[in-house]
This record gives sequence, structure tokens and C-alpha cells, in this order.
Amino acid sequence: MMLSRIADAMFWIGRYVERADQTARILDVKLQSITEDTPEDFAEACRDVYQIFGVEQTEESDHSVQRVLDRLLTDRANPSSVAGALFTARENARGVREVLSTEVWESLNTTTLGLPRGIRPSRMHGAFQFAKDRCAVVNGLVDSSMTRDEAWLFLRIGQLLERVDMLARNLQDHELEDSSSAATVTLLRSCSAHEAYIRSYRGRVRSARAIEFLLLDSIFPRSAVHCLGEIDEALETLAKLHGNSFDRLGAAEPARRIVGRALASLRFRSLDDIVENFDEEMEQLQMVTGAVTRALGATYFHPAH
Amino acid sequence: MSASPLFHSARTGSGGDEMFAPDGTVRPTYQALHDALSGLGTEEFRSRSDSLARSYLDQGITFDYAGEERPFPIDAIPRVVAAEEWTRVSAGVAQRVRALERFLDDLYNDQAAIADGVIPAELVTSSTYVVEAMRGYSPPSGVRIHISGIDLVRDGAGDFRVLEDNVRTPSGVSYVLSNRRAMAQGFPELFADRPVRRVGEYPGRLLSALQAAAPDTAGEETTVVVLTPGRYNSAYFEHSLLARTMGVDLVEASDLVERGERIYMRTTAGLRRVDVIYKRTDDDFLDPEVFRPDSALGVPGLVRAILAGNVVVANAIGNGIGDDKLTYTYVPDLIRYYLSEEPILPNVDTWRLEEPDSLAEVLDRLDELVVKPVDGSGGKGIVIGPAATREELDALRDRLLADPRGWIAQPVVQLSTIPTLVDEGPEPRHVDLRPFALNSGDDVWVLPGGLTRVALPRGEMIVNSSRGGGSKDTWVLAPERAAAEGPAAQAQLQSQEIEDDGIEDPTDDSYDEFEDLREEQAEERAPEPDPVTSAIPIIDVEEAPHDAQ
Repeated sequence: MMLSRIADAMFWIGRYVERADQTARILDVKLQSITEDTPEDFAEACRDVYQIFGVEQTEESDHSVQRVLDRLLTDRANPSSVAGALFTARENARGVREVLSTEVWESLNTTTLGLPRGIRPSRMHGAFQFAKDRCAVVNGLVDSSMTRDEAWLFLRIGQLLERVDMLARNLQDHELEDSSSAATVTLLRSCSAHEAYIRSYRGRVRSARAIEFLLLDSIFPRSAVHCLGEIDEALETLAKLHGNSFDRLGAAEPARRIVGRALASLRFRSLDDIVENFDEEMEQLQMVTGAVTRALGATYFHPAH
Repeated sequence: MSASPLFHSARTGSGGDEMFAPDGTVRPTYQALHDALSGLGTEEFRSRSDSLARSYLDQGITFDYAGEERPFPIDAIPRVVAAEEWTRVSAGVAQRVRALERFLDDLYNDQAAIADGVIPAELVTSSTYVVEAMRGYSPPSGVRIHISGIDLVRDGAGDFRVLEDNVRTPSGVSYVLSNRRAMAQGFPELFADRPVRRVGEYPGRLLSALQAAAPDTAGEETTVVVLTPGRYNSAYFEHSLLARTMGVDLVEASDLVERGERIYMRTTAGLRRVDVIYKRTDDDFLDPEVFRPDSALGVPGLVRAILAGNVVVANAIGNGIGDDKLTYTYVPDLIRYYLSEEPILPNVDTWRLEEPDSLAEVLDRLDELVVKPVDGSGGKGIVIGPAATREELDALRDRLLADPRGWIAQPVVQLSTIPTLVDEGPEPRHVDLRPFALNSGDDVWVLPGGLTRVALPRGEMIVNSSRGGGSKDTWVLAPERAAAEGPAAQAQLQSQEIEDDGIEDPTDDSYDEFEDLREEQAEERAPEPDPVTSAIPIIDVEEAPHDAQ
């Protein structure tokens, strides 16, 4: 049992650190490929990148690598940029110092102290690497220094949900028709899945196989199915901590129903079925993360007393 | 001794420095520290000082300055207080707290001190700090000043005097703890030969004091929380550190709710009862039912729950009258009246401006006195006569004439100085001292240390952090032990070992800055049966690999 306000903040620390990490990964790969390949429609390529992160309206002047960096890497006021997400995580952490280990707090604090205010395209890789490294340090310290109590569970659920959300956005952006291996490799790399994929499938990179891997592989830690399974487990542990020990159907919690349904839907349908209306399916997967967040809010963060 | 390069510009030649005597020699209390610091050399000293500041920024040890988070400046040259002197300070602080406890209890109940003519009735009727709603209330444990910080300064003769009492929400103890931790990490060898008393047991003591204040919980575990205005409060770092080191929840007012004259906090498992609230908010924002109906802040119904005896707020609501600087002028009388003792620590001489003769004298000498508002804190509103312009003094004169009850005047106290690192090297800077005391009901315990605040600008006399002040680690030395000789040596050696537990030793491997309270007496335990598992080997002999193949 813990303060609702703090549970809420822990959840968002998990989400924002993961968002910073994923955003850095995706931008690193996408911007590098834009810079190297100089696509014919440069503006279109930039718009695609913005779209992954939910930026729909862009001006002519936004279509440069520098502007993408300004808005999605270093803008501290935008909670969907790398810097903004880390600052928001750090602000949340400042409000819950007494439940975070000192090591986790200090690593988040020094991370935000080290964030650059502006970055040239020539040096962007280093900045992405810094952000990814720092997120790994934070996650590692969370892993090794925090008790597996309620606070940790909320942080963990936030992290996993954000991971599913970012994956769905990233996949939605992927052109299924573009079966060139270059585009698929970019996709896999932006999910840190390229090497894992190669080891699992030992062969040429194929678009359908890559999507299968990212959505359905049960033991790759960034696949949708793996993350949803872990969320379900965390929700079950949470329910047990709250004394709901014998939930035979596993469906007493609204959040578990939502997660279980999405998990079943992905696992027990054929890939062709999922891919047929892929854009819509990925949209729905993003809605699942929103619905779980609301369900957690109603049960734990803002329960009606 | 020859002038050391590190301290070459630190000698004042005046009598007011704590490290150097007027003739330039090092005072005995500081000799060992001075030699150890000089031994480091200027460059090493400065580089380690810089790393102290960096570590504060990394750890987020900050205070809010004009809306910005700033690292709290820590100076790497500690203050040293000799054992005998501390004994006096400690006794004097405890005495003052006991007298103020009696005063507050009397004031909210019988008002005997007024009937007996010790204090004038106007002191109470004219104060904005007396909370009518608390009249007739007595806390379950009788304690109202669970936590206090009594500000001291050294006068011209080098003796400590009380400058003001803080019995509402004294802050700064977190810096005592973090300064010590930073010094122990950054300068471990300085502690080597000096028996510095430990400060790390404060959080444990604080929790015990708060638990002791609890209402009767019918045998259930007492729930203590720290109430903070939120993370934008200038002292948020402290609120969070105290909650963390006590292992209790840090709540905001919106986390608390009153139901049936009890206070609960909103948790992920519903409402949970709260017994003791260590409040770090102003009284005015505690309960809109009583204080500010227009305020959205606070916990509606909190005061009703307190009066019903179901929750205790520490420090008690209404303690502000104890901080009133006009009350301060009566504290020596209150000590004599309630405790039948002579005050151990004197006040700074003070004029009460509501007395016509005093007012006339003060108005006449405005340019040589310090004038303070009776309700000020954080150095706000203070006018230092010798440093003020003619216009400021004229404006002050009008204010004093309009509201003499609102002000007191004191001679300029030449605060003592201690060498402090500034851009040019260590130079003398003015300091004060805030020792912290905890009252558990049985006993007033004074933390052997305290917050030494230092005014960083040259000549500045106001040490508050809101005025650019920094702080120093404050070392209270343990009493010297008589040399162990003769047949009693063995017994004495043993008692020494026990005493050593209270002394900082950062070079020890098991050093931990927050120490559990030492158990007074280990409980006797019934012998337990041998665990069954001891009969089961962890691995079967058959399965265990034998020698390397």
C-alpha cells in the first residue's frame, strides 16, 4: 500500500525514461539513414519521423535534420522529446524521493544536468548514445537497488506500456510495401532488434518476418507479446499485494482484461490477419496502452473514496 | 607558528575570529584542524572544495532561490566547538525549550504567567500568532515543541547568546546531515585524530520523538507522516530527506482527508489512518475551516481531528507566539518563573519598542542599532542601522512610530567569524549557529552539531540562505578522556569503547552516515528451537561435484 499520488508518479517515471530511451533509439537510426541516403523527398522523410512521435502539423521550415533535433531531442519543454521526457521523469522523481533509491535519483538528476541544450547534426550520434547510456544506467539501478514492491511494480508497468506504445508507433510508420531490406533493417535497428533477429532467423531480413519478430516473439524483451505478458504478470502481482489473491479468471482487474485481450488477439491470430489492416491494428495497440493507463488510474491512482 | 599559505589572508587581528586569536596564533580548539587543512595545500584544498559543490548538485541538495533550484553552498572549513562549551550550549538550549513548553501550555490554558505579572496581557492580546481555536487544547503527550532550532551567536566576549527562538518549523537540519556526509566523503582524514560527535542518529531520534507524541492507537502501529507544501517549497529537499531517512510517507495536503474527526491518507489500497503529522507548512495553510476559508490548500477538518485527540500535529498549531520576538525578550523571565532556574544562555540585549522610553531611545540611536520585525524570519525586514541610508532610516522611523508592537531593536552584535573559502582564498566570514533539539516528552535531546550558517559576502551580517548565505559542517568534540593508567585502566578502556560509538569515523569500512539508535538494552529472547532446515543439506552429496575432473 502506498500513496496514490506516488504510485502515479512512479508509473510516469517508468514511462518517461522508456520514452526517452526509445525516442533516442528511433531518432538515431532514422536520422542517420536520412543523412546518409538523402532521400528524394526529404520533406516527406522528415514528416515521417515527426509522425512517429505524434507531431502531425509541421511547417516547411521544420523539414531539416537540425529542426528535428531541436524539437525531438533537445526541447526541454516538450515531454515527448528525449530531453523533455528525461526532465519530466526527473521532476516526477523529485516528488517521490523517499520511495526511490538514492542511486536512482542521483542517476536521473545527473542525467538531466548533462543534457545538451542544442546539438548539431554532426554530433547527434553522441547525444543519442549519451541518452541511451544514461537510461540504461537508470534502468540498471532500478533493477539492482529497488525492492520489488508496489512502487517498483508501477514503474515497471509504466516502462513496459511505453515500450509497447513506441513499438506500435514505430511499426505504424513502417511501409509494408517497401520490402527492401534496407527499410526493414532500419526498423529492426530502431527497436534494437537487428542482431537478435539475425540470430533467431539466421537469414535474409524480410519485412513480414521482422514484423512477426517484433510483435510476437515471446522471448525478445522488446516484442509486443513479451511486454504485454510481463505487464499481465506485474498486474497480477499488484492484485495479490492488494489482497485479491484468488482471481481464478484473471479478469477481476479492468487493466488485466484489456491487456489479456490484446495479448490473445496478437498471439492467436495469423500474421496475415494482423497485417491485412496493419495501420488500424497498430492504432488499436496504441489505444490499448491508453486504456490500461486509464484503468490503472481508476483502480490505483485516483480511486473514488 | 609561521603563517601557512592556505590561511595567509584569514587572520583578522581582531578578537572575533574562532580559529585565530588576535595575535595571529591558532586557538587550541582549532589547532589540529588548522594543521591538517594546511597540510593539504591550497591547490588540493580548493579542488576538493569544488568537488563538494559538484556532489551537492549531483545529489540534488538544493534550495529554491527565486524560483530556481540552487545547490546549497557548503564551505569546506568546518566549525569546531569544544566539548565543555557544548555542554553549556546543550543545557542552555534544553532549558529554553522546557521553559517555552511551559509557557505555551500556560498561555493556551490557565495564563498564570499573566495573572502573576510575569508577562503583560498585551503580549498575548496583541499577537497575531495566538490561535484562538487551540485554546484549552493539550496534546496527548503534553509536548508542543517536538522540534526546535534556537539561533545562537557569539558576542564580543566570545560567549554564545540566543538571537531568536524557532519553535514553529525550524529548518536546516538536513544540511547538518548532508554537510557531515559530504565532509566525511571529501575529507575523511580530517576526522582521523579528532573525536567528532556523530549527527547521523537524528532521523531515528526524530521518529522516536514523533511516535512518542502519538494519540492512543489502541495497540496498533503508529503511522507518522511528513506534510510538505510540495516540491516547489524552498525546503523540499529537507522534507524529502527526513521522510526518507525516517522511512515514513511524505504527503501533501491533498493526500490527506478527514472522515469522522480522523485523518486518513489516500493510498492505492484506499484510506489509511494517520496518527502523527510532522507538518512543514505554515499554520495558515493547514485547515481552511479554521485559517483561510478562501484557501484551497490544507486539509479541511484537520483542526477538529486534533481537538478530538485523534491526530497529533508536530509542532503544535499556535506555537508562533513562542517565536514572536517580543516573547523572546521575556524568555529569561519565563525560565526563572517556570523552572526556578537562572538562564544558562543569555539573550542579546533588546529594546521593547512598545515601552515609550525605549522607543524614544531607539529612535534617537536608529543609525547604530539593528531593528527587526517581531514576526520576521529568514532575515526579512531587518534594518541594520550603520549600513542603512538616510532614506531607509526615515522610512523605518515612520513605521516604528506607527506600529511599535511590531518591532524590536538590538545593538549590532559583532558576530564571530571563521575562515571561509571565497575566490581570494580563506577569509574571515560571519557565522551563527542553530542547534536542533527534540522533545520526546521525557527528555529534551540536543543534536551534537547544528547548522553553522555563514554570510558569504564580505562584512555581511545576515547569514540566511535567502540572502546568499552558505553553511559549514559543525564539529562538536567529544569530551577528552583521562589517560588510562593504573589498575582501573581495563575497566575504563571498556567504557571508552562504548563511548566511541558516538564518534564519526568515516575511514571505518562499516561507516554509515545514518545510524540506528543504539539499543538501550537488548531484549532478552527466549531460546529458539533449532531450525528444521539445518538438518537438510542444501545440496545432496551425490549431486555435488567432487574434485575438478
